[in-house]
Amino acid sequence: MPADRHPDGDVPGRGDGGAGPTGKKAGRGITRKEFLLLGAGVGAVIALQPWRRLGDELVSQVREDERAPPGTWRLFATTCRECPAGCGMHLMHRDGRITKAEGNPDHPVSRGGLCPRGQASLQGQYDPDRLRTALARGAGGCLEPVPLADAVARAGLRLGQAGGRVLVISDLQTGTLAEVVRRFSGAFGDEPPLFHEAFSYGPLREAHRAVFGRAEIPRYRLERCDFILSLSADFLECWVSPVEFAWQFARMHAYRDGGIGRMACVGPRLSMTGGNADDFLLVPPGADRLVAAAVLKAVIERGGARAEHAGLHGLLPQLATAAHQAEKHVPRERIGRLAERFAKARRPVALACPVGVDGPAARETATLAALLNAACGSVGEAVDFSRPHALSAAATDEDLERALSGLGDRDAVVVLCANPAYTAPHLADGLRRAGTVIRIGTMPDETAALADLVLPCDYPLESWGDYEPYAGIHGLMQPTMAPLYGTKSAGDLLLDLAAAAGRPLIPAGAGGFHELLLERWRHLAGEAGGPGPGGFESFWHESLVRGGFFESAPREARVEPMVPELRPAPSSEPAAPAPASPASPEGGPVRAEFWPWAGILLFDGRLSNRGWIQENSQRLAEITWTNWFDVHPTLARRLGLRNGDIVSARSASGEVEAPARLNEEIDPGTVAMAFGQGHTALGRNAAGRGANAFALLASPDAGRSTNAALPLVTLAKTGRSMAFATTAPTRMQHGRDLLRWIRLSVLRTMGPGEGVSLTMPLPGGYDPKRDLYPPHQYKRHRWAMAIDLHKCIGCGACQMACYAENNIPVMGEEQVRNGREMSWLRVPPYWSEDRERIGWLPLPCQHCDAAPCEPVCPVFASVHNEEGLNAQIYNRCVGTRYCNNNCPYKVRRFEWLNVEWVKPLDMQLNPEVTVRCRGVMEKCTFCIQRIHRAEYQAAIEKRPLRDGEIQPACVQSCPTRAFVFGDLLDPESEVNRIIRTDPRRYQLLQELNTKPAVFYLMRIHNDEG
Amino acid sequence: MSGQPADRPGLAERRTLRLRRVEVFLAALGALFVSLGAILYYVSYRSQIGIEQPIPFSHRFHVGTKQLSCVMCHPRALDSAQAGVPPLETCMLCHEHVAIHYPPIAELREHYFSGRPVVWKQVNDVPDFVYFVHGIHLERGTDCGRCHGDVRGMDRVVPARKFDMGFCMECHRDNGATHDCFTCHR
Repeated sequence: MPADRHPDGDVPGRGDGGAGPTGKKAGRGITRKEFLLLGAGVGAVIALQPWRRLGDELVSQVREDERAPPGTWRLFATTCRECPAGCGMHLMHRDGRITKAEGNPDHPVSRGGLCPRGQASLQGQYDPDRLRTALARGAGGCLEPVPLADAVARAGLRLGQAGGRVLVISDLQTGTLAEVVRRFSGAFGDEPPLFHEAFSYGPLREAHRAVFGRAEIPRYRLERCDFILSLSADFLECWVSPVEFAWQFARMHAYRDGGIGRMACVGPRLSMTGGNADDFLLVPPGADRLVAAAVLKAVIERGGARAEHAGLHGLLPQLATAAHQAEKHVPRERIGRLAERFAKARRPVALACPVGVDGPAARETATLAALLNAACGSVGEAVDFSRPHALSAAATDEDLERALSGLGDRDAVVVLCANPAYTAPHLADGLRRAGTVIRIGTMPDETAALADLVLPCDYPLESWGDYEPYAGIHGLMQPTMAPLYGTKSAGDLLLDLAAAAGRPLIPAGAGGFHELLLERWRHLAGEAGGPGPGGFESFWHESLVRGGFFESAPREARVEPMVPELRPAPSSEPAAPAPASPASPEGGPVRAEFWPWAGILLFDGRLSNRGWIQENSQRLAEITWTNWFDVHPTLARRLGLRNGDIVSARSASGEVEAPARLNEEIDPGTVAMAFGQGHTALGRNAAGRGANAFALLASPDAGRSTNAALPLVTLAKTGRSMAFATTAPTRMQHGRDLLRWIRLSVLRTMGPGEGVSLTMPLPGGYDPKRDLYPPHQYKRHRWAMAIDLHKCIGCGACQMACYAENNIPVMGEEQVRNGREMSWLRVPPYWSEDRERIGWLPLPCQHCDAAPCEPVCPVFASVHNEEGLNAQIYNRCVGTRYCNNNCPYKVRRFEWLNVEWVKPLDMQLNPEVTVRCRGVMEKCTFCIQRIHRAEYQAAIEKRPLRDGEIQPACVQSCPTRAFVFGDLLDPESEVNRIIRTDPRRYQLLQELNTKPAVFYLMRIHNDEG
Repeated sequence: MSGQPADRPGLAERRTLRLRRVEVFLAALGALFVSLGAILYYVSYRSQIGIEQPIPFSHRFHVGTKQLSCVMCHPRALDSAQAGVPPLETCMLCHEHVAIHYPPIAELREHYFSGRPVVWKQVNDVPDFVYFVHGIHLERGTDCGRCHGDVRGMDRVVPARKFDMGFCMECHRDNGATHDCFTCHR
């Protein structure tokens, strides 16, 4: 360190800032005497200072705000905009900030459930990396902060002077904002705006145009079906409207009248949807269309009675060829059984089209699925074209490519919220060529990084708006709290921008976007048969409270003409089998097909900067904080790969590196990777993490594999490796029988009340021969939970809800690798003993009656509550961790570190739950704060508690309603009814005699037919 | 006080000395009165006067003299966790017309009309890991004074009780209320 060296060669610093060991003056330091004097002085000052407390001020309101009185919870209904599904949300608001998102039970799409991404919208609102000011590219080529008004004026000027095209790219919008976007785009030329979504389902819409004459995504009503055939369509994860499909699926798949609906899934990788399927067929990418052809052939051959079949008979020769090819991938009898089940089903439906994939094979699969739906008569029933999905209006990949190619210096592009520089990296250069790129958004993402001007807009939870996920389902958005920063709503920014460019969209002085919204809703009220007796005011108010205006009258008239015009377009070109990779020496590069998929958490990557999203494990793989290549062991052997080795994959369009996860849940000739990671910008949690799967997909024509539109990738071992941060070390049960299945044929023979005899967590469950401690007596309540594993699809919404409700900290990748993730509730997947089926086991604290954690606590911090809960008292806990070591369910978490809540993420903290510090054990409380709130409310209203009134966060959030919470002492309660009557009941590790208060209902193994 | 004649002071000097003695005596007497007064003030009165607030509001006058009910200004105590401070609107129910020229009230009105909140100093508080709910205690018939003392005698409110766990548990025991840890700690 030559720079630190003193001129005379002596090293300074020794003795500086403190006394030398001898107390002599050393350099510029102080003597011991001075040091002691100083120390004493500072000590005296500290000692004599009056004891002060922070935050001891009470701010009075000036006028009482009855909508949000201080210290009380208020719910604001709004619409989730984390994906195009548009579910209804209730935001819990308290003292000017929102702390929790819940499902809106009145919303026809989500029906009270909310997915993990919807829960994480709060972390989007409070994202510490959010754009706070406008940015403009300065002289040095860097983005520099400028006042918003300046930036709008500059942007307007540049737009007004742009001589060429003005292209507007937005994420999918409907309603008022879409109208503003269209008018904005129209003011600068006749080029229509592009509503760009990374997952736009082009093949599905194309197929529906070919078969039904309507390039639309219909409304699926899976709850009316008894058989679902999913052709690589992961409809429980990200596909179109996942929360809606989750409750629909749970309903059709539920055990009722001695039977359950059946779901078959065909695809190249075992996804979460595949894990929930009764039959899962692993085929190479693109071969799902061969299976579809075989099924269609069987349906046509069997279904003479159905009139529509007439036109389909001509297809039989083509289908026969394809069906024959399918047998290369799947044994004939499995296909035969699948086809028979589909053909025999009363109301089957076929879903096709993977997310983010386009090309002839995907189109052909979608066409065959459409034909299947037409042939089996589900159109108009399970496939409802009367209410097409908003995604039908999304721009296709070709539209985007066409628009972005040929941009030049004189052109300007306005990008609203969408992030094409990340989701279509091959088009980023096209975007850069534009003379002006104006970005309106909330995050400093890849598109913002290449923009000339960045205008920050309100987060959807801060702004007015509306969104129409299905025709006639109008969701309303209202500000659930005041904007955090000096931002404006996207609509207002567009209006300002147009005005600044000299082409105002509304007359000067007219109200802004909010006024346009009201105008549209006045019109809607009129269309809906007048605003009603209360006038528009009451219509508007009711819509705000309900979360929107939902047309309930069926639009049957539009369903009638949907007799399919049969214009089938299955290509007859012979498909090659799984790519025959050339024999290569071990460790050398290997060619494989690439299969991208979207997980329920990361989706298309727009939420990747949120700690909750990164720290909650990717379903099935249970890996956090990164993405990976799924590699089959046979392929791995050819490459000489071990689990965690980093592989580079090169396609015609790009190259990425990611660790390999070796597993047999993937087609041997394929590697798969999830979308969502590999950001170069977006923020601290996202940037530089994992790999971007979009980069490999970019140009579908180059290097295309033979039977899919997906690129072939060349894999090579890099020689480096990493350890995954996983949350489930094993998915095997090792004979412990944790997650149980019951055969449908057995279940049918069982009457109510039969099955496993339970050890009740009540005095009745006390057995002097087995118990060491006396039973607990309960006077008023004994809380318990029933979890229907057959309904659980493993989405992890409960886990995310728990993070939000209980102030659970995000620990980061390193700590998760150390096994220190803090999640109170986990949802690990487990294989059945024969590895035939997989399921999920939501695992909150079991609130045992003979809890092993309680007697071992030396300080009585772990105690039994009067209502049966295992309470952990943080202020008493000294952190011995004995309780954790003695817990057989491993549901207790120890705070190893003091976690910093980066501002403004601390605004999300639930004020009714203690924020724990280092050295404290913590665990699930059944949301005691909610129990107390309901109990006190009932007491104040002088009435008994109603069953179902208390909903812990996990229970509220579950899209499939797998959880039931209630009082065991109430003989009428739902939880009591279930555990008394349902033959599927069991307790986890019952043999330990812990007497858990969480009861599980077995998954049903559908062995019929 | 030596008796050497040469050093005996003159009459005038002696008078001055006596005067000085009187002065010293008077000063000592004064000091005694002041300190007695101070002790009286601190012992008797100061203990009943709380922290200074931005606007001098007297609970003694409003609750004692004018006999206003606690929940007139703190209605939220009845049904929610925190009693809170009333919105200025509540003050204006009376001070729209009453005593509008009295300087502190004029200041209050100024706050109200300009829409600026008054930032009061918090007097009663429990630690962050204690979750106290007013509503359920009032519902069970607990008198406000049990924890807050007799505010009818307090011009500026003082913390009448030390809110430690013993204080809570004693009352819970006397009334046969719950001893469940989860009631207050979560």
